[in-house]
Amino acid sequence: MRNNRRWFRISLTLLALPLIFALAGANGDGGSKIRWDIQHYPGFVLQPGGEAFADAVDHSRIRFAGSGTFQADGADGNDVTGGGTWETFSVSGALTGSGNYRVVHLVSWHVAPGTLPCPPITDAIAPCADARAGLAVLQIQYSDGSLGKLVVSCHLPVGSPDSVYEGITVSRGFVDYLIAEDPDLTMNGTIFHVVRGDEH
Amino acid sequence: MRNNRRWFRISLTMLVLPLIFALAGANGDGDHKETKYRWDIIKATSFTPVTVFEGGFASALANDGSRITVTGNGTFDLRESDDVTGGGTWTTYAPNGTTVTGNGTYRVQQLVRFDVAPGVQTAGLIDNIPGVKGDLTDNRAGLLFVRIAYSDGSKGVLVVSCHLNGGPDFVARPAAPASIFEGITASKGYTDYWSRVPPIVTPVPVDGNRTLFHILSQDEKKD
Repeated sequence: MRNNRRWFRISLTLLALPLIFALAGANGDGGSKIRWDIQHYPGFVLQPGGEAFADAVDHSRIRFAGSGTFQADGADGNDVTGGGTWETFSVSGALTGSGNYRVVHLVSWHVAPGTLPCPPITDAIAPCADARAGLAVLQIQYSDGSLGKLVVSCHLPVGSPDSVYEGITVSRGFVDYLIAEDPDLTMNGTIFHVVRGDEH
Repeated sequence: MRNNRRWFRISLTMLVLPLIFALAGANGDGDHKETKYRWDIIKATSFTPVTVFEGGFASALANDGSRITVTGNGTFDLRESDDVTGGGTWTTYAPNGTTVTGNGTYRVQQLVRFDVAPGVQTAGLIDNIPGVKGDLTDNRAGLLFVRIAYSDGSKGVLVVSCHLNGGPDFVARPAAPASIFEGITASKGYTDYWSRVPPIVTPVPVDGNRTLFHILSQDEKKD
């Protein structure tokens, strides 16, 4: 009889374990996807379709627009989607190139503290509670065949450390557009959202 | 008896196969460049003439003025992203510039990307980096991204960018494009130290924030 009880307890534990792990997973972002956006927020309505600029050391510039997704736990760096458009400008401001780019690989993703205050902001991309601050490094391929990396950094208004900047930096070939221009000055910015399983 | 012979032949074939594949692999890579590079954060002990050694330091700032200073060097192979060596030390500082908030070592885990750039080293520079030619023909400008692991368990990406200054005859020895920066940037967790600290050039050059790439091997094969 005592033996039967012991086996019953062991069986119950084994049955409950998957449920415990599933619940634990649901509370974090680990098994989810992250969506990134270069957004804009006219009238404090945060929406896709923004623009961001970064400068090289000689003050030539690159303009980026775009969005995409990647795995939150980074387990498969190739499980990425997205891309957007790019334009490059000379020191004098003349357009020197343009085209599309696509994300080919996630190099790294680190979530940062911070929340989006809704209101006054209305989040038209995803539920406001799913907004995240953080730093994503993505490998990209340009439409002219060149390769580079896109760094998306998001500083949320409430609780993000001052060390976290808002904006992007980009490399294209051997040129690193490493100086992020503050996108908030033109009501543009970056944002990450957790994409829940049923939203995939 | 016949069975024994057959098994002997099969065993022999199984033993020889790996050798055949190994030899084929060594010779049959097709048309490609096999290129190994060395990167350094260099130390300049003199500027008349410029004399460089390994073992320098370079810094970058985060958005709030906090700073990371790193030392280091390593090697990488363009064909195999995991074929990397190297690392160095890191120290982080609070925005006040003096309070140390962390320090330790880091090691390079993986090559993310390297793009070699045009540009030639300044003639007359004395190159004391170990294991290189020393005649400046193996110096390269470029932009390197490597994944790194810090000793405190955090991870990041180190960016090393080298601008070669060329000259003094800029026709024979052109400089790298002005869009290429000299120095490093680094991320550590969610903090991106994106603002490189530039090397001080004028009025008097000061050691620090300088980098260099060397080609260690370049072998063009055509089968």
